[in-house]
Amino acid sequence: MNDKVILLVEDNPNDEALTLRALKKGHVMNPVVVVRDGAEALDFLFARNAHAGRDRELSLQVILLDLKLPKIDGLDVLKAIRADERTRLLPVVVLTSSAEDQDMVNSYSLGANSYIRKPVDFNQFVEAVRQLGLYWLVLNQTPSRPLAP
Amino acid sequence: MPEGNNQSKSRKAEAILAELEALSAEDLSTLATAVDRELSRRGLDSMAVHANRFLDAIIENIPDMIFVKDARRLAFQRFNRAGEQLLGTSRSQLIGKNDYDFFPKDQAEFFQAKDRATLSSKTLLDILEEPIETKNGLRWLHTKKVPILDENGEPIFLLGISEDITERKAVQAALVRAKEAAEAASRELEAFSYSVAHDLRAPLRAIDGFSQALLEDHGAVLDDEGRGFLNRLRAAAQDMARLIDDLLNLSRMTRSELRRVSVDVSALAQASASRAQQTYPGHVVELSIQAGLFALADAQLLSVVFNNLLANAWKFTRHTRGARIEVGSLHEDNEQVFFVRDNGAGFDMAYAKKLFGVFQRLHTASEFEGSGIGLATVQRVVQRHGGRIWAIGAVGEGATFLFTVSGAGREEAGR
Repeated sequence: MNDKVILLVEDNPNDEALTLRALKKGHVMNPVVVVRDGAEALDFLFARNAHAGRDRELSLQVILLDLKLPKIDGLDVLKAIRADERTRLLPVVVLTSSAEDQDMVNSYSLGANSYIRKPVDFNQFVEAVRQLGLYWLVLNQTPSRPLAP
Repeated sequence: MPEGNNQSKSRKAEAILAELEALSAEDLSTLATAVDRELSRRGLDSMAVHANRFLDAIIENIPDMIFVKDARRLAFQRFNRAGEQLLGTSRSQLIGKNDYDFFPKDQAEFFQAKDRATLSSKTLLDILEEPIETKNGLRWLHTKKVPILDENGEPIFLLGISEDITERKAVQAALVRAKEAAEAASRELEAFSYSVAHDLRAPLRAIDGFSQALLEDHGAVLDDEGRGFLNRLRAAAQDMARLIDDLLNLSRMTRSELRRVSVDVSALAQASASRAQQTYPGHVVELSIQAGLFALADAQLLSVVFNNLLANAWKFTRHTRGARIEVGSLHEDNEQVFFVRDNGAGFDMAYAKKLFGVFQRLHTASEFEGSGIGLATVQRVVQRHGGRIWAIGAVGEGATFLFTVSGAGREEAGR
């Protein structure tokens, strides 16, 4: 299981560092690929443009998706993931600052699997990430197949 | 003598009147004409003049412009005082002339086209808005045009009644502009709240997270004081995060839609009390909630009110032995007033007005923690319902918060 990749879509370098630290603290050892805006996220997922040469055998376990992103925002990324045959079954966890009901409703109705509001208290964040890792990386069973564009 | 004379005359008239019934319609008409002629020969007002004067008195005093045009040439036949004032033209200048003599060509064309349409359809035409150029500038009219038909059903006159709606239109336009401005401001506030929620929390996460990282990875090189400072940093970041959440909540109370349903207030207060009890697990409170309380209110918003008021009641009785908290209702001027009463720390009535202001606090953070936003949020909800909220209390003797949600005042729109 450990070879399965987590895709982190996050534009804020502090949040990126904290999320990586929280994953480590939560004993999530999977490799993490970080992309920093919505357009890059889709390029990576569909192996195009700057990511055209990425490893096609790579198997994604879960996508951690921020909502407020440069270029293409998180909800549109989610929409594109769910609209494409190759990616529509991928687990997507929305990881965001927003506690607006509307963001939550939109995320779930576009097919997000979970919605987590990043807490300010780092210890709570570690706990959230630990549970996230436990569920999406250990307990949750997905059809086993590489993400092949 | 005049009496006797009158009586004999009226007896003569009575005799003639008695014969009238036997006359044919044609004879009656001839007789009426003869009577009219005789009246005017003697210098008296004819029956037609009487009727005309009566009609004129009515028309003259109607506050809307009234005009009559002949059906063929559409020249003005009659005109009233309100019309003269509206157009700034006297009727002597108007009578016998038509629209082209007074108005710009396009307006005259418009008026006459409507006149012709009314006459040919032989039905009333309601023109909700039409501009008219007058000596006093451009005015807007709401006009009704009515065909007046002869005995064969052919139109002979056109009656027009015009109400000057210029001021009303201006007020409506101002209202629309004000509404649009308010909506724009509300959208801006929403965008602002959204970015507050996102962008202000991100740096706080960094402050808290990296302080924690410093403690964990480099705690050994710091002494107790240094580690203490880092813990203060973390606590402050978390305080600010709560503050932001409370402010967002306040703005949400302003924005969300108000949906009135029948709310079981007793149950709602009980749920809020249970929440408050969970926040202060060790605190023993004697709670009494009046049974069977109902209100026509927004259930979600009302629960915000009780969550805040009961959390406060729990908080401010924390140092009180034999803490009692009571929820109930009373009637004041036929209005249902809900109250939440406690026997806790209370407050000085001199500061009663300050209670509901944002960031206003009557206690130091070391006495009782809080952001100073809770009661502002409660007041917002009550105001949204068109209700009132006030408080009575005394230092060391507890506080009672009273509010109405019946909407006897005006209900406020959300966005």
